[in-house]
Amino acid sequence: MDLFATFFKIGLTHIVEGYDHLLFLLALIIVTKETKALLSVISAFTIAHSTTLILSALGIISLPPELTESLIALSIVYVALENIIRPDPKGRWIVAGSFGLIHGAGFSGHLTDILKGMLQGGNIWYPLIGFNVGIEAGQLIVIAITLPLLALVRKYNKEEVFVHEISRVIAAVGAVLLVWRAFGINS
Amino acid sequence: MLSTLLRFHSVHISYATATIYPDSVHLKVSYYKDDFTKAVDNWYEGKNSQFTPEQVKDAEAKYFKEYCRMWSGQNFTHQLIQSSCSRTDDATSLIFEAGYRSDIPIKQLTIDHRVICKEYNDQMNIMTVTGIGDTRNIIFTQSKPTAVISPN
Repeated sequence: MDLFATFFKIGLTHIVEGYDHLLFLLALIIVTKETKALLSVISAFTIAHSTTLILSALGIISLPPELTESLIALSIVYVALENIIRPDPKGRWIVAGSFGLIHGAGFSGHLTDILKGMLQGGNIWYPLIGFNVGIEAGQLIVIAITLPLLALVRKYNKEEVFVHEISRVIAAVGAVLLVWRAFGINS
Repeated sequence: MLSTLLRFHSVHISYATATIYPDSVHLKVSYYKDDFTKAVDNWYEGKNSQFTPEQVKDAEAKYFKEYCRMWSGQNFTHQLIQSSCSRTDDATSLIFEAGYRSDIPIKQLTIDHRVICKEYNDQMNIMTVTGIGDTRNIIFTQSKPTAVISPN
């Protein structure tokens, strides 16, 4: 396996097995009805979080993990609550992009260390591109699973109930994560 | 259990740089601290839980020396000498620096890097090797833990 494939796998795994990113993405996706809006949301998230990941690897930004982890949890709560309060939220790409910056800065210190090491060795592009393509692929998998389910609930006119109930669950899990991380209960 | 879930990471990876000189090698490698600690715990079968901080450092060094080895030609005596072990500021990584010295010029170097491979079958130990005429990336895995390099 080469470096591109290795980091593609890491990026893919990061999204598919990263429950906090999954919750955030799910909350963003379930209220997005048009393809154009969906693309702008996903693109904004990817570009934003790639930007902060690169800046972290370059050592330009360095945020305390406790802060980024808590803000990631807060982003989940915010998006889920917005789904309930504003049934048809506009400009969701701005929310996706803003919180995407936080999600990108929230990669583990170890992964950032590895990218820093590769950068110093002039070895950064294959891993970085592979990682981001992997993240894109992970998001496409989430979308591919979620959209048919949404189409089904729309068909039976249950969309509002579905979105509200799922958003409540996501908000509750996000709130637990927020308290857990903000007060360092998991450390 | 929830605490374990919240700290879970599914990426099992380390990164190393190895610089080959005519008769020596300098190695710097970074491991996930949690994964490395688990591997040391397993190696000591949990008997290290009562160790003092100094004994813990010694145990880590012994594990590293046992599972990351290199030798030149047919001289199987591995002489990878660890010079330091440090932790990053956020305490997620353990960084080892080590050196290898050969009695004769290195014509063929074998690297055996199987740190944490017993614990996770998807562990990938990536190493960038320089000083061999070009730069080469090697990925050591559970099924492929050894590489042979012939410096130009």
